[in-house]
Amino acid sequence: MDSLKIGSFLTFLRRLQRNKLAMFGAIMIIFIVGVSVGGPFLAPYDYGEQNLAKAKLRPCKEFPLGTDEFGRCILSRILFGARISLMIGVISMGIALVIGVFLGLIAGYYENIIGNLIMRSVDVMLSFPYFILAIAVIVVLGSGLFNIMLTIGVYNIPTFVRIINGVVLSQKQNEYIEAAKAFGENDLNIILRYLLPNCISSIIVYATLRIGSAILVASILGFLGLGIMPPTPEWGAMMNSGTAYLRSSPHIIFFPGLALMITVLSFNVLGDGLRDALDPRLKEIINK
Amino acid sequence: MVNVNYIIKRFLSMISVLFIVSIIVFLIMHLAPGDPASLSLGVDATPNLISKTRMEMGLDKPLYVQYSNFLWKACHGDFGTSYYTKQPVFSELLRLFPATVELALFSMILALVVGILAGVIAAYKQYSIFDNISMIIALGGISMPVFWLGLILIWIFSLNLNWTPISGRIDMRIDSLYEITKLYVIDSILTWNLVALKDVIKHLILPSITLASISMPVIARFTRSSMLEVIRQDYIRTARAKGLKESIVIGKHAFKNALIEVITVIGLQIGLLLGGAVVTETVFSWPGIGRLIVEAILRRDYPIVQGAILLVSCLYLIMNFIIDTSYSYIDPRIRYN
Repeated sequence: MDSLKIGSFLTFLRRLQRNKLAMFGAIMIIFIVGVSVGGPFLAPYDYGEQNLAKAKLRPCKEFPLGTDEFGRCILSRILFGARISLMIGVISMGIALVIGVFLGLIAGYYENIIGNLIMRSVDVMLSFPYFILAIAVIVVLGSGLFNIMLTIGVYNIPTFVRIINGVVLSQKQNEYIEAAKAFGENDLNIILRYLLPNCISSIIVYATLRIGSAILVASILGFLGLGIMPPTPEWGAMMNSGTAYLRSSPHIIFFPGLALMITVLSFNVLGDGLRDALDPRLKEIINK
Repeated sequence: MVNVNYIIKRFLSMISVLFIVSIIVFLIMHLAPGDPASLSLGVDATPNLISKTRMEMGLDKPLYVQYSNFLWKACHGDFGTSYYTKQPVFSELLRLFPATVELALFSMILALVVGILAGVIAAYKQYSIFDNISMIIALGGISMPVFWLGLILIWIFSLNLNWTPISGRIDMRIDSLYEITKLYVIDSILTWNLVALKDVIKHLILPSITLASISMPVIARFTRSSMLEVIRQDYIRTARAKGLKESIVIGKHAFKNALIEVITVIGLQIGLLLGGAVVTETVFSWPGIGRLIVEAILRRDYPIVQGAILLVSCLYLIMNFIIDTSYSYIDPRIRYN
């Protein structure tokens, strides 16, 4: 059993390795995680250190990516910002994942009134224009790191419920579930030991894909002034304060945007690659 | 054949979602920090005046009474008065609505034309340079923050090249445009005002590209993958074997079938488009609903936030209703059950 697992894992790795874009994404993500962990040691300056005499400097030897309107080093701020963006992406996805997978398993396994209620609520949530909903929630809760993560997390719950529900519904028809029932396994065991492992690949793929979009949404909220507030070096908020100086100092918005795009792109290409490697049928249909 | 039962079912579910939206929107006002009465009066209101206004606004009544009043008024187009401008919310929304519609329409057309064209060509010439480059651009587009693209476009085309204006819908100096539909492009064509038309298009082009950048890559990728599936079907081989021209095989036989999946994606894009409009309008100071929502939140002008969210949700639901029920026209094989 174990050697079988290792074997299929190696096949998966081989498939993933062949996908150059996905490997690029994986390497970039490792790099970004490294940066966000080691940010304080790598950054040439403190992210809050102001020096008005050196405000709005173009990239130079002293400040590799230039300085912002308060003379703060943009490179240092981007390095610190990586930590915030990653944290938002991972924690909000964690919230969505835990609640979404739980509800999806329940709704898929018990196709009774509870299951129906869960799925109808999901339909309602998915029929909202999402971004507007996020804005409404922020109005009520107020902006702050935790509220942003909660809002983005809650938004992603219905997608997870739908995906997991779909997997469970198809797996439930299989004979091994019937066999488990015949052996007298209780519901909790069947859900956790038989059904959940079959959902893992879908969970990994969608979580990776959605982390990118969660980071993007957080930065959009930051840019609109509804997200994390300055002086915290969140990438979206950094760009918001840079818009006033677009004419003279476009580098204030250019570099944080580039960092954001590379981060989101890395998660997207890795997610695409994981989907192809974990669910090769999809790729085969396309390349037949 | 349209299934009447399906349409009725779909309509009822739309109404129930709208009902839930209205509850959430109503609760925004009550859960949001700050008392509506004192917010509407401003900072220097006396306690007496505040309590009198509370009575007038019905804030002393039980929550369900307040909600039914809110719903009754909302059904009649009365969303209250803006705290900031003191104007009725409905007329404010109506005034700014055409600007958002114009922007959304143009960017959707742009996204569809460019996205579908790129997707079809990329599929037809799979693994070619065009395929690779367009799909890399599409991947970049999906990962790009839309406001960043907007700002970079402004920097290049407005600030450096001076080709397009930075913000707004029409030059203040052009006052001769006679408003019929309030969609300026159509108005200037109807009245054959070419000076205005040129100016309006110049204003519209960068915001449209920015907003279209959200949907364009998704549409391109989807068109490509569904075209790839269709091209390998037997009936395409048959069509080629019959000696049909390649343009007819691709354009008529393959594309028509690939289109069904693409339309599904377009339905999903509408939500993104509305969200994107909020960002794009803020970047380009476009006088539409999206920018109004952001401004109203920052000013704590809750009646405007409520009205705008209700309006946008209504629009979203109606558009999705139309798309869902129109499938059977496009693909007679689809039957709802």
